[in-house]
Amino acid sequence: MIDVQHATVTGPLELPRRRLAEFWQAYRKNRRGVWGLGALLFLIAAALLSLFLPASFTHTGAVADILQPPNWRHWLGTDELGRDVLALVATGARTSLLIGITASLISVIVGTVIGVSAGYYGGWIDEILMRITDIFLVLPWLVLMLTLAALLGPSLFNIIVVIGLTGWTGTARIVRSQTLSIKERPFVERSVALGAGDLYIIWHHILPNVFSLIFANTVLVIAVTILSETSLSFLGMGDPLRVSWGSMLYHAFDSGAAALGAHWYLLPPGICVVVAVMAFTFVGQALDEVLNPRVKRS
Amino acid sequence: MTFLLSRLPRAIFTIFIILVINFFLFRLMPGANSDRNLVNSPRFSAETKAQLRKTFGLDKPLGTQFLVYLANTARGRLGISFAQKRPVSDIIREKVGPTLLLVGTAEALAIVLGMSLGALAAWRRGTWWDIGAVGFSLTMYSVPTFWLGILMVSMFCVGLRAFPTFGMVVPGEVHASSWLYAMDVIHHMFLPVVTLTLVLLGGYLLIMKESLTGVLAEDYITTARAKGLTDSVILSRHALPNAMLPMVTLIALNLGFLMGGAIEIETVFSWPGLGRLMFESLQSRDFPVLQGIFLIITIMVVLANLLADWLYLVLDPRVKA
Amino acid sequence: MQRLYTAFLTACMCLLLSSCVAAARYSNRNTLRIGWNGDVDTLNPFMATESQSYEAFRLIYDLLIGFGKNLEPVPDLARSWESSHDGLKWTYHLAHNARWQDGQPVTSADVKFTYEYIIRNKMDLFILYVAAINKIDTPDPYTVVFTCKTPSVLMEQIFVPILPKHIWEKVDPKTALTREDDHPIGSGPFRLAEWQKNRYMKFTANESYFRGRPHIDDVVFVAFANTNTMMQALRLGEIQAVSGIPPPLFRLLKQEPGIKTIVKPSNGFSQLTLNVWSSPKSKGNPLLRDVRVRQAMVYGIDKRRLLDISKLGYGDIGSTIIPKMFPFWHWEPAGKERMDYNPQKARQILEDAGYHVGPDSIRVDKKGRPLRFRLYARSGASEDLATSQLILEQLKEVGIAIDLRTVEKATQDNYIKDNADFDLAIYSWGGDSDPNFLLSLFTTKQIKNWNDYYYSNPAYDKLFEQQQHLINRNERRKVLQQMQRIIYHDAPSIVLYYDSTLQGFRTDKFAGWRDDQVEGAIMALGGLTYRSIYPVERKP
Repeated sequence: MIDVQHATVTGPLELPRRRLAEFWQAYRKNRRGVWGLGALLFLIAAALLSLFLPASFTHTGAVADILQPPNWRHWLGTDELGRDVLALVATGARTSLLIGITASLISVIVGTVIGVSAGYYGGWIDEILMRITDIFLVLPWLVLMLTLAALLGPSLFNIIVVIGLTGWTGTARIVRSQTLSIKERPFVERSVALGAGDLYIIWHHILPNVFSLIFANTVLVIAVTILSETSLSFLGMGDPLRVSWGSMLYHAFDSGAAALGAHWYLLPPGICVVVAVMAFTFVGQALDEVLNPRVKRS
Repeated sequence: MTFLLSRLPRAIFTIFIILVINFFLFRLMPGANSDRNLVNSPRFSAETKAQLRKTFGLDKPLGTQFLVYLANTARGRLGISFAQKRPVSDIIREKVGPTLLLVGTAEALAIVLGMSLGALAAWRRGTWWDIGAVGFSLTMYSVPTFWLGILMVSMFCVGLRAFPTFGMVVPGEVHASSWLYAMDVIHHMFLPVVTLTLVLLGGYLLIMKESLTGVLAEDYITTARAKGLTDSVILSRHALPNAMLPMVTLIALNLGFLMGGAIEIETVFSWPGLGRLMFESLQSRDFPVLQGIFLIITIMVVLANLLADWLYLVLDPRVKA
Repeated sequence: MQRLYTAFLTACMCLLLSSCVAAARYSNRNTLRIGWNGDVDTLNPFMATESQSYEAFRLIYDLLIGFGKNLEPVPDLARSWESSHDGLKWTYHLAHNARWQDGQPVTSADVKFTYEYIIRNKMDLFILYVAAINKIDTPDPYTVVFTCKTPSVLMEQIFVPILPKHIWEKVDPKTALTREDDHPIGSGPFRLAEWQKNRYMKFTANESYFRGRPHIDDVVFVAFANTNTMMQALRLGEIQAVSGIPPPLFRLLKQEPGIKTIVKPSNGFSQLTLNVWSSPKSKGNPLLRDVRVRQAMVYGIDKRRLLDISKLGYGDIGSTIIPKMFPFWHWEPAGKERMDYNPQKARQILEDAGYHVGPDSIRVDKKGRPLRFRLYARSGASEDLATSQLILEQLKEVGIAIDLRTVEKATQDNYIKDNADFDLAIYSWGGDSDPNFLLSLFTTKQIKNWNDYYYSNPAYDKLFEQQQHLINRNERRKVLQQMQRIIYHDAPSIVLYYDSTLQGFRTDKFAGWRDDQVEGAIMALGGLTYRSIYPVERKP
């Protein structure tokens, strides 16, 4: 995809069609990656389908219908407000995936900016940025997230910001290491000798070579973000007006449905989280293998 | 020694920044500076509230309060809880034990099991051991900790009635001996520890497997085999010590995650530890307690990281040679 | 690998061992375990505000006059009492055999000391009760005479725990507020044996209780962090009683054998608080100051539907600010005065007042300002959230737009009380046995304190002053009704529904539950259950 040795790339975002076909050929070999991709597509389809659900499915249902086990009318039963669990799970997919992807993008962008700056400029900028990274690593992520969520208030936007702003440390470290090693490459030295400015070098040399690393890393970050959102929601810090898998589990627990053995309410959201996280992890690992070949895996 | 000295300034700097964040972060939260945190009833007069503010030192300007906070912290005095009206250090001391017990046991088990199973998976590449272990790890890694806990409770407490559903001991029970007390604790502790261990296990197993696989492919291992050394000697003397290095890094990195896991487990199992305390104090804006917990956790993590870095140095074969 | 196997085996054996031991572990003491959500905040009688603390006080301390099953005055430490004709002199005759839990006898000196301690040190929590007391005399060790300045209705219903003089006279009043009482000495049926804060609180029977030793050995209150675990524990028999069961669970528990479920009226209610402050400092929408807008809201809300969906029907439709649980004081509007759900009428009122429907079907006034209001709800209160969403839909029908925002409790308090930066807020008000207090919330004096509505009405304030001195209950009732009428029509608060207390208790191990108490078997001011409960196999 990007020829690191010869540095013939002109920008970080070009993807010729031939390269795409090559990429798919290589990706296909990773069975877990293919499975993950399939699962993801399924979840996304479910999420999109939920947009077309009639409102009656997620409205608070008739009072007689609460906590019903699966039956013909409600394939996954109902929750403590009488709503159809299957519909809720599909709607939850929308929120969980949205938060997962958006917050991860924030994390990765912040992490990349910090990592590149620290690696490229070095010196005291590096020191300060690394100290900040240290602090974020030392503060337990959940504790930090809970505090920020309490500070900002529980809304969808705030949750995305909070998760995004606490999940960048891994990316920053990886990007910094990569930047450091790229910086020493001959083609970069040549550019500097030719009088190229910092931003030019970063945009044309550093970023393209970091991109494939980030890409795989982003997908892995999404996996972690989905888990983070689930945890936040379970502890009651999610947006209470939106359905997400985490908030479903929160309500299942909080309303005591778990205490009464409502497994149809308790299992589906959790299973969805597991499947989504595994899918993103597999896809991320597969991407990593294809885009960043390192040690041979025999 | 030189190692410690070189890392110390960095550690102290981190702790200081944490202290500053600690102080200001909580006070920024809406409702943080209200009298309602001290006494939440309309029946109290303005005079009483003023008197309470004075007792807690909240009537002074922010800058002064910060200096007082720094001075007190240096002396080990962590303030008085708003909600419980007693020293924060007492509260934390009560709760640290249960959390350390839970988290420590789970972490130890996860490390030991993770290392052994990971080594096994690496040693027997491609067999069912390997595939099974890796699959299991990936699944556990993807499972939300609290969800696993709830499922455990459903299966073993409600379903099989084999374990109690909450707390560390049967509340109010007088135990005839320390042995029975310990048994009671183990009985209560079993499920939370198993849950946390399972969740942690996956990561350690995978890292160990990756690392050992890499090590086993190295030249010096082939040399050792050629020399005719037995498998167990190769493993214990050459392969494992080198493979453990990334584990050490992971353990240090994981400490932050561990606290998050603790909060979830303590909530699900009503385990009386720091995690639950932190969560409740956040909601009641009891920031002396929050500050205290933050500080303790930070210091522990910084120390643990120092230890991990030092261990890394000690274990690194390149340094040894 | 052998290491692994042996480790695994050892672990299994430990498990088996502990389980076996666990099964045979329970001692043969009769311990009543009760679960509650939250915990006692403090055992300091001058600072405690949580209902759990008051439950604890009922076990440790005695009152002069107790509460019966209908909250009527019944003898406690005072076996009988009488008052003079003018209501100024009250004489109480104490039990002769009451003892403190450290062995000392309870005398009139203790009663005198307790009241004087409160009066002298202006203890906020009780000051209202003792405000009328002028002089306390103790003609003999078992008689106390109170002389009041003005006739006070409160002399028969005061929740003042009687404290031991020989202990409290040594306590410096200045530290009395922040002192934590870990070893309280009272004269009540149980004494505190162990207190693990936020975990459990253990009480042991008082052998020398003047009414006779309780029939059980221990009472343990277990503090739970969440309802789910508490309900599980109840179902599995790890605890015997719970108060405050969520409605969906309550429904399902009804069919559970061995558990009795009861529904009791509670003195809590859920309300919409409206910001009606006329000061320029208010950050609320000024259109809310128009009483017609507020009345239209009342007509536009279907309270029955709210109750059915949020509470599954458990409770009562709200009307006036004094809950139905006080049938003597509660005024129920009748006939033309009632503002029942009538969206057509709501639209009419707004139309007549000059609010015409704008482009996005939201009404605007003559200046084009829309009827759009912010509603703050607490993120942790799922019932409030369901209610808010229903209100949002219902008010949309009459042309009022609601901007629903969820915040934490502390944040909501901050917006309301500190900054008046809200239009509407929804929250539940709970557990106050004093109608007087509820009425005080609307007085001008309470603005910037507990008057969340920022309501100010001189006529109302005058009535409030007046009723405080009326000893004749019927006269007082007339004034109270007038006050309720004012608030109902002015609508600074819209009472949505009155809660019910949902309790469940197990009948397999213990009997003698006093669920005939109007507040429920537990968490009742009378505390009668603790004196009458006994283990099933040992009927007294």
